[in-house]
Amino acid sequence: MSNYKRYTTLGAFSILLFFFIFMIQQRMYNSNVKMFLELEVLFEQSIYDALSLKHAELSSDLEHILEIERTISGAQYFTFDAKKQTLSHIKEFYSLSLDDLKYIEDKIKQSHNFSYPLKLEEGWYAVTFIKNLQHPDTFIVSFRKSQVLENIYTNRLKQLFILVLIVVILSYMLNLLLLRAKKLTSEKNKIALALQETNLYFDNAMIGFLVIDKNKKIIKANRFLCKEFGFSKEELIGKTTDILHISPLSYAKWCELITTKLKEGSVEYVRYKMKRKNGEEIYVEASGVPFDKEKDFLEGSTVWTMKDITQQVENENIIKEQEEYLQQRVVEEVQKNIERTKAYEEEKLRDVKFSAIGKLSAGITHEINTPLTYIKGNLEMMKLDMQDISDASLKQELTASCTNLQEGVNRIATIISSMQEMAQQSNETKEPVNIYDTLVTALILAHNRSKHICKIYLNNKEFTLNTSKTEFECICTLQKQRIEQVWIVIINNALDELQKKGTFQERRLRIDCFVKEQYVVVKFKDNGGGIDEEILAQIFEPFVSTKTHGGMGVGLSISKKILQEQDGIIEAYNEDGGAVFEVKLLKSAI
Amino acid sequence: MKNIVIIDDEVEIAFMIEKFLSKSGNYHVKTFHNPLVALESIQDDVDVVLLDIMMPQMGGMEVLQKLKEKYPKMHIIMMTAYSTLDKVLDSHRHGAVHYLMKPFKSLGEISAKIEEITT
Repeated sequence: MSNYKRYTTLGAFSILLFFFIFMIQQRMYNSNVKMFLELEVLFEQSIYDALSLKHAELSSDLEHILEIERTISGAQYFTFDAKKQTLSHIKEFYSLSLDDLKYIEDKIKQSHNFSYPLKLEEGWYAVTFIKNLQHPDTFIVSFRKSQVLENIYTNRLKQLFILVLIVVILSYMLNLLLLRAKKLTSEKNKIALALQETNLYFDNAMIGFLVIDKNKKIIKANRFLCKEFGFSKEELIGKTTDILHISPLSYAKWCELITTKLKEGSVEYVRYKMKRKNGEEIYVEASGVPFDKEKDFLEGSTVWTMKDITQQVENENIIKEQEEYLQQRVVEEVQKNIERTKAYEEEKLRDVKFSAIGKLSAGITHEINTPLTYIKGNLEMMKLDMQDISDASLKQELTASCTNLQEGVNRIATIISSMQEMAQQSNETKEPVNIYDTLVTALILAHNRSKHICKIYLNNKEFTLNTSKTEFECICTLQKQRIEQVWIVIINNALDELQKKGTFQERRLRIDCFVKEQYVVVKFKDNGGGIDEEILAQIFEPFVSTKTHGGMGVGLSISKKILQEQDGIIEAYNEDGGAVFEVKLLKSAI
Repeated sequence: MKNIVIIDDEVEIAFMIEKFLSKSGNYHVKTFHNPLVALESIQDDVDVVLLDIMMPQMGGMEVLQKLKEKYPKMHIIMMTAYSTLDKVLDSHRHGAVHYLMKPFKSLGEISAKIEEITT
């Protein structure tokens, strides 16, 4: 309400109030005056009657009467002859108002005794007209100064003042009341607005809200909560919360859980399985606070927020499963790795062992070889000398023993020789090498032996000691002597195998050296019957040998190792009734 | 009679080879245990030298080089108990005709090599 409106109302009210009180006062005053004037008439008449009775005979002597009267009441008297005198005389004399005159005139006409109040300079007077019984057309008029009238009129002003004061006070109070009312209204409006807003938030919040009383009855539920649980508001409100629980047992457990949580401090983010209207089970995350903070949680109403976290829980479960799976995989991998490392360590250890044996054997073989040389040589000479023994049986016995000794010594010599092969190491640096050249060198070294076993064809030409080393050129970067060593091993192995079968004419060893893509390929192919399938798979493993005598079976394993160091590959397979050893070496970039 | 010289610090081996070769009656054998002495003593008339590689006073390779410098046509057969391919190849490069591994397969191997070279 605006101030303008308020003040208008207030003004109107004040005026009305003023008039109302004024009217009452006026009425009271009028009645008071009337009463007084009637009394005055009675009083004057009684005086006049008394005088008339006492002085009946003297009634003509009005002057006298008046004289006496004057002395009695202190009033001014005169006689008014209605026929002779006009009221204008009186008017002139007493300067009456026209209203007064008219009033008096009317009263005189009615020939009643009457009195009326008159204010003169000296104060208030009661003017009383009494009919002269002796002379019907005349009136005895008395002017009596009246304290009573004086009081009445003076009080009237005072009362009027008080009245105005009251009105002012009342208006002021009314104003205050109005202000207060206005304030109250505005506050009420504010509260109503806030409530409306709160309700709006409550209902539209993207989280479920639930208000329950101490008997677990649902007082309020917002739209989100209803949607989550699949109920309508009407279906929820007034029901107990067990409508949201899977079973009474589940509800009992929930209550236990809440009690436990309360002991811990607060009921926050409690995860629990609840039930939708259609029976579907959902995971809910709930937090609760007492409605009235002064009251205990279980004693009064509580406000709950609830959120369906089924999806989240499912996701978490999936993540958990994945984590578990990963964990397991990691464990498996680690285990595998450990096994692998173990295997590798074992291999390394074996390698170290071989290396140690190799290093030792370098010294040992020399030391053993020297006595072995003369033991062997002397045995041979002894055997020759034995031919001169004449006793045939002794000769035979000694020769047999000598042969035995020779066999034993030969075995020792073979072992030592194999150990030497293993011990060989080279610090040679890698350099561009013509592989064809190395093949010729190896063949020259082997020639002394090969010439008794078979013909060797190098790139389709029969090898002789005169074969040129530069006819072909296949350059690789590697350690020359190491690769020559490999060739010698392979060639010697082939010769060993070839030696077992056929005649010189039948045996063949073909060596081809050519470039294929980024490799230089060297192919050794014999017709010695091939390698046993059993051995083929593990032919490059150490200590695998087909030789019954001689060879510890380290040659090819060393060759493979050497080739690996030279970034080469070696393969063995059977082809056309013979063994093939194929070596691939990385061609040098030119 | 062919003149054969054996240079080997191992007395037993040298003695054994000498005995074996002498026995056949085809060879005139002279043995040195010290290569330095051998280098001084060897004359142009020697047909084949059997030379050990590992010797304390002077290595067989050095002896080989020195002999080849002095007598380029002299036949020299290397012997070693401690064989590496490097050494075989090296000796080959420096002009050794053969390379005998100790222990010998048979003593006959030695005479066979000598015969092979000299005939």
